[in-house]
Amino acid sequence: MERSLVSVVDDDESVRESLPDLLAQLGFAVKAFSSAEEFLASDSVGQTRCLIVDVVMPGMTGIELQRELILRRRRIPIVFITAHRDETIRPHLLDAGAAEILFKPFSEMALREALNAALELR
Amino acid sequence: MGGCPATDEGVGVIETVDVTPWPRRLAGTSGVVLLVLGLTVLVGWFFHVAALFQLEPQWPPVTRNAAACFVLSGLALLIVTLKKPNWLVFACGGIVGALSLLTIVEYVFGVNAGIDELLGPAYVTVTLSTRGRMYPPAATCFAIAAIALLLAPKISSKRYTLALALSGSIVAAVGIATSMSFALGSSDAFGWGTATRATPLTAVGLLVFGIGILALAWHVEQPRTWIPRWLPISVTIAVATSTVGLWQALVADGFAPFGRLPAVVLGGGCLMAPILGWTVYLAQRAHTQAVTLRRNEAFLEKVQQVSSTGGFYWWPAAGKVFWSEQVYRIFELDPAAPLTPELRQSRIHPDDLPAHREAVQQALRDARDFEYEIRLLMPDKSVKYVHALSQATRDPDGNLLYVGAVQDVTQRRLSELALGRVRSELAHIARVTTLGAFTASIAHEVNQPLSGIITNASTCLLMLGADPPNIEGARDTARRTIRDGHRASEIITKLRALYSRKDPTLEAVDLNEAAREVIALSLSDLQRNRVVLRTELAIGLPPVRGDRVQLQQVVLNLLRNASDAMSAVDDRPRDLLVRTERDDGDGVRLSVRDAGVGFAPEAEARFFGAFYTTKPDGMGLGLSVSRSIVERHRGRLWATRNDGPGATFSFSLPHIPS
Repeated sequence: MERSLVSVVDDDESVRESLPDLLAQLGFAVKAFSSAEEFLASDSVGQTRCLIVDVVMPGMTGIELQRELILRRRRIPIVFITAHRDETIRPHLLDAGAAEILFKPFSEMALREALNAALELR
Repeated sequence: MGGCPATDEGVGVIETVDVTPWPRRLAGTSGVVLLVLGLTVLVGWFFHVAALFQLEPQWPPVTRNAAACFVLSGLALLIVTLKKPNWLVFACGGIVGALSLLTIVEYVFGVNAGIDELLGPAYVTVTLSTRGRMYPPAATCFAIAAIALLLAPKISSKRYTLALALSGSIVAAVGIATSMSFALGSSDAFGWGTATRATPLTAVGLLVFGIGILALAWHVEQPRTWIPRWLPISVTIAVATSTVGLWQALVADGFAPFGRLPAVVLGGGCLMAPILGWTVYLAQRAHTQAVTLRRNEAFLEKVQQVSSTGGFYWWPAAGKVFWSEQVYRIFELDPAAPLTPELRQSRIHPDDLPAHREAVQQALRDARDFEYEIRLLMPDKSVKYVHALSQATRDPDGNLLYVGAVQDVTQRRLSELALGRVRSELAHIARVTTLGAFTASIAHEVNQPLSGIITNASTCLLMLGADPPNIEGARDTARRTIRDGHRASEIITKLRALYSRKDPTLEAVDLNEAAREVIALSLSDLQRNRVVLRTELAIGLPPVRGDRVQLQQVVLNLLRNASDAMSAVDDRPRDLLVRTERDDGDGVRLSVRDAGVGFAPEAEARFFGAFYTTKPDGMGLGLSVSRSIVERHRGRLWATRNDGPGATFSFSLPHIPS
């Protein structure tokens, strides 16, 4: 069985280091990008089954990336991650089509549930 | 001029002077009387009715020239009072002046200028030395008055009134003197030897003329006080001349039941004249002073009202007090009721009574200037804030006397209170917002590595739990977990540096000056807490090197602590002493001594730890922060227990070597 590709976009290096390993352990194929622009330029856009993206990044933010993908008619389910524990952004992002919002630090269990929800969305 | 009086004195608003109408009317009436008198005499001459110009056959007649002078003078007087036209006044005055002066020249040089019968023959010549020639004092009077009248339209200033009044006085006095001699039955008075004698009509005419000129002077002057300035001189002249008239009459009549009577009358009269003049002058001056005093009083009263400030005298030894009306108004007491100490105290806010009593006691003890603020409680339960300040002086008997002012500062205080409330709310909001932003940024920075730690640890567990276990992978992730843990710790260190490590700006700081600024800022707070502050700041204290604002923060903290420590004290004055002095060696010391609750010996060790507090609303950071500030300045901060109640907190800093 071909493993689903999960792309991680985060400017924080420790996330780009640790999260792909965990996702690989959970049975996903993973690619990590340090910015939204880098992800959009790659050929992973078409193959990504689920996108894990940081809300706040220098350059294009996670929210802008979500908007850009809608414009390009790429319906990739998105799991947002953020270190700002601000509950008020949750309904806003969910309305715009996000699958889940995870506040850092999040547990392995929460991540697994969010990914399941995102993949079922498709 | 009554329209804009006293503009030069700046307080014209308070008092206005109305134009008195009677002097002008009197001057006008006199003019008319003179006109009628002169015309009657002239008619008598023309129609040979001797009774009109002579009255009695044995008396001398009023000459045609004198009658003409009366007519013209009366006309001039009337015109001056009507204020127009000036040329007519000059014409009348000129003719009168020319006639009278020529007559005087005739008498003095014994010549005949040919003017005596200018208006017709003097067919009645009883006691006339020369046919038709005017009576010499009358000529003199006309000459003087003519000059005054000629000046009248030209100068309407006050300076001119003196000249006018003097001439009026002389003319009236001659009139009085001659009238008196006739009243005493002596037609020979003022006969001047062989010269022409006076007539009763001329005497009365001169009197009326004199009064008219005086009235004119009065009108021009419009005295601000009830009498004109020149009145004393007029009185002196009038009394002296009357005396001379009386003496003349007595001498002329050979009035000699007592041979020396005339001389006695003359001497007494001449003595009385200046005395009377002086008396009038004194009365006039007293009146002027009274008016000035009343005006000043009204001015002061108004100023007191406008500034809500009242004045008081206080003789502490006698317990006597004098209040200005405004103080009664501030205290809302009846000025008519006797001002007892009980009544005064009944208005003072019960909470402020101890502070008030303390201030009174201190004033009694020290005889020093004082200044304090207390609240008053009105019967309607409203509260007033009054600011009292006073200077210690001595009354003429050497008793201690306080002279002071009481100002109602309620409005100002209330707005300050409102402002203070807003300010503290604002400070609280600012603190909360800053703290909020601060914690959010800490959370964000720390959450990043924490997230890595948890993710790595999860991966590690999964790798170890796999079959076969991925030991190498688990080792890597465990290493990354440790690295992220270090990273979190580094972030905390950086944050501390960012938020707490501000290098102090070093400058030479005068501890006295710094303390004074803080005290000035805290004064209203301290007063509100009824703290009695005293300072003993050493003179010539060397400066210390440090951050002025931080050091002031320390002083402020110590003042607050002291004030708070006394907030529950009600059985003794809340005395607070701030003292600066040279420390032993090379330091300067500032100490704050309170009379508060003090502290237990074992508490001292805990004082300076963070979060130690006795206050329900305190953070307990004050003393801890203060100590760290002082230590950063290479000084030390410590607390000692007083012998009496309370504690003393002191800090000492090395001073800059001089």
